[in-house]
Amino acid sequence: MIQTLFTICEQSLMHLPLMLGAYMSFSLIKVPDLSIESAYVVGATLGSKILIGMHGMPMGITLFLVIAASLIGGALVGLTSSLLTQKAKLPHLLSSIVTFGVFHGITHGISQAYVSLSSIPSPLEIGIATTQNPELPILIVIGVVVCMLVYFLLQTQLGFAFAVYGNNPQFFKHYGISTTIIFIVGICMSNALAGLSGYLFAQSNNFIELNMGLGKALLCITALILGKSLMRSKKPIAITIPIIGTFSYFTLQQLLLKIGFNLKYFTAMQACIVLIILIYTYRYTQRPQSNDNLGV
Amino acid sequence: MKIQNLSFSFAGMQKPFFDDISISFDSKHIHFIQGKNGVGKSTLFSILQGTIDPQQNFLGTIEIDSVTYVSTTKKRNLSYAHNVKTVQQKFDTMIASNFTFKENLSLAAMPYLPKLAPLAAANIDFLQTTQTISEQDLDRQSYLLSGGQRQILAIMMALQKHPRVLLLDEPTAALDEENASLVMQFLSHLCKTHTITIIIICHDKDLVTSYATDFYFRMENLNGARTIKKIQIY
Repeated sequence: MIQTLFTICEQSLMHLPLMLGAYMSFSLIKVPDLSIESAYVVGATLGSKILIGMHGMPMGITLFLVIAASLIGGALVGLTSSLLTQKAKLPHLLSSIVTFGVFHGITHGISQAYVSLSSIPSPLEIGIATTQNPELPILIVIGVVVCMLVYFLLQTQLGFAFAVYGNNPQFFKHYGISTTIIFIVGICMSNALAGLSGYLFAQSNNFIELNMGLGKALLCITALILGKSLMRSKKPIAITIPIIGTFSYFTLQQLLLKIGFNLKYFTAMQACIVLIILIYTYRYTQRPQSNDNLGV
Repeated sequence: MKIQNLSFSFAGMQKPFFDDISISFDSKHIHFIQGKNGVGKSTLFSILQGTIDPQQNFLGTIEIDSVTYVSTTKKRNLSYAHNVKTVQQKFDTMIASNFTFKENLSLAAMPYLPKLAPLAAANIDFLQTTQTISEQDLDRQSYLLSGGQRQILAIMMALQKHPRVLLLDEPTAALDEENASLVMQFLSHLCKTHTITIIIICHDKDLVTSYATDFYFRMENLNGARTIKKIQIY
C-alpha cells in the first residue's frame, strides 16, 4: 500500500510540470497545443545530452544544468509553434503538427531513437541514501518549486493575460496590449514545463525514447478534466486544478492496476472518460461559460 | 478635437469619399454624428480610430489639445492611438466575460507588455456620480451583468488609460430603451465631470434628439458629395 502511494507520488510529481504547462496552454490560453508532445521529447533529449556531457561533474551543478537544458529545449519547441501561429498566421493545431515534424527530425539528428541512461548516476538521487524511491525527495522539491513559481506567475498581469486570451482573444487589441507577446510567452512557458517533465520521466525511467511524447496531450486533457470535475472552481484561474488532476489521474491508474486492469487499454479508457464528460457537460450544462467547466 | 480640411479617397477611386471636411468637437458636450446607413459614418469612424491606413489618399489634419496629427494609424502615430479610444458597437468583444467588473477594469489598464506584477487596482472614479452599477455588481462576473452595464463597463475600460477623445459606434443599438437610457445617463455624467471629448456615431435620430444638448452633426450624401452639417436644437 505504502509503495503504491510512493509510486502515485513519483508518477504525479514527474508529470506535474507537464500538467501545469498544459493547464496554461489548454485551459487558460485555450489552444490545442499538441506541441507539448514534441517539447516533452526535446526537453528529455537536451537534458540527457547535458547529463551525459557533464558526467563526472558535481551532481548539484549537473542537476541545475539538466533542468535548465530541458526547460530551454521545451521552450524552443513552444517558440517555434507560437511564432508559426502568430507570425505565419497558421491555426495553432497546424503549427503544433508542423513543429512536431520539424523537432522529430532534429531530435533524431542529435540523438538515437533509444538511449539508455542507466550507466550514468542520476542527479535526481543527489544526497539520498539508497531507498526504494531515491528520486522522490528531489521530485518533491522540484514539484513544490515549480508549483510555487507557476502560482506566482498566475497572480501577475501576465498570468491573467493568459486567461483573458482564452476567454476573449480579441480583448487586447482594444487596449493597446500585445496579443503576440502574451501568446508566445505563454506557449513557451507551457512547453518549457513539458520539457522539464520529459527529462524527469526519462531520468526516472533511465531511458529516452523518440516516441515517448505520444499520447501526452490526451493524458493532460484527461487529468485536467478530472481536476476540473473534482474542484468545481468558479475562478477563471485555479492552479489546484492541474495539481488535483495529476494526482487523481495517477491514483486512478494505480487503482486500476491493483484490480488487475490491463494498462494496454488505459489510453482507450482515457479517451472514453474524456468523451463521456464532454458529452455530459455539453448536453446538460446550460451556463454561457459551460465550455470552461471542462478545464480545457 | 478639430478635424481640418479632411479629404479622403479609397484606393482606385477617382472621386474623393470625403472632400474638404472640417469639424470641431469640444469636451463640454456629447457630440452626435447622425446619418442614415451608408452615408459614410463608419468610414469617418474608421479614419478617426485609425483602422483605415490613409497613406497618400488622406489629406488634412486632426488636432487634439493643440497637437496636430497628419495621420491616425497606430503604426504611424502612437501618440494619437493613446489619445483616442473607441468603444465598438459589439462591445462584448472588448470584455473578458469570465472576469469580474473590477478585474476587467484592471486588465484594460495593463501596459503593452504585461508585467510580472499584480494587477493594478481598478479605477472606478467614473462611477462616483452615477447609480447604474452597485457595489455587488463590481465583484460580479461580467457575463452576469445587463447589456447596459456591460456597455458602461466597456466605456470605462476604454477610459482606463486616460484618453482625450472617446469614440462610440452606435452605443445603444444592441440595447433596449431602459439600458440605452442607463448608458446615456452615464455618458452625460462623464461629460460633466471629466474633460473628455465624447463623439457618438449613430443612425437613430430619435436618440440624438433626446440626448443631444444644443446641437448635433448630421452627415448627408448628396450625389456622392458627403457633407456634415451642424444642426441646432431649440
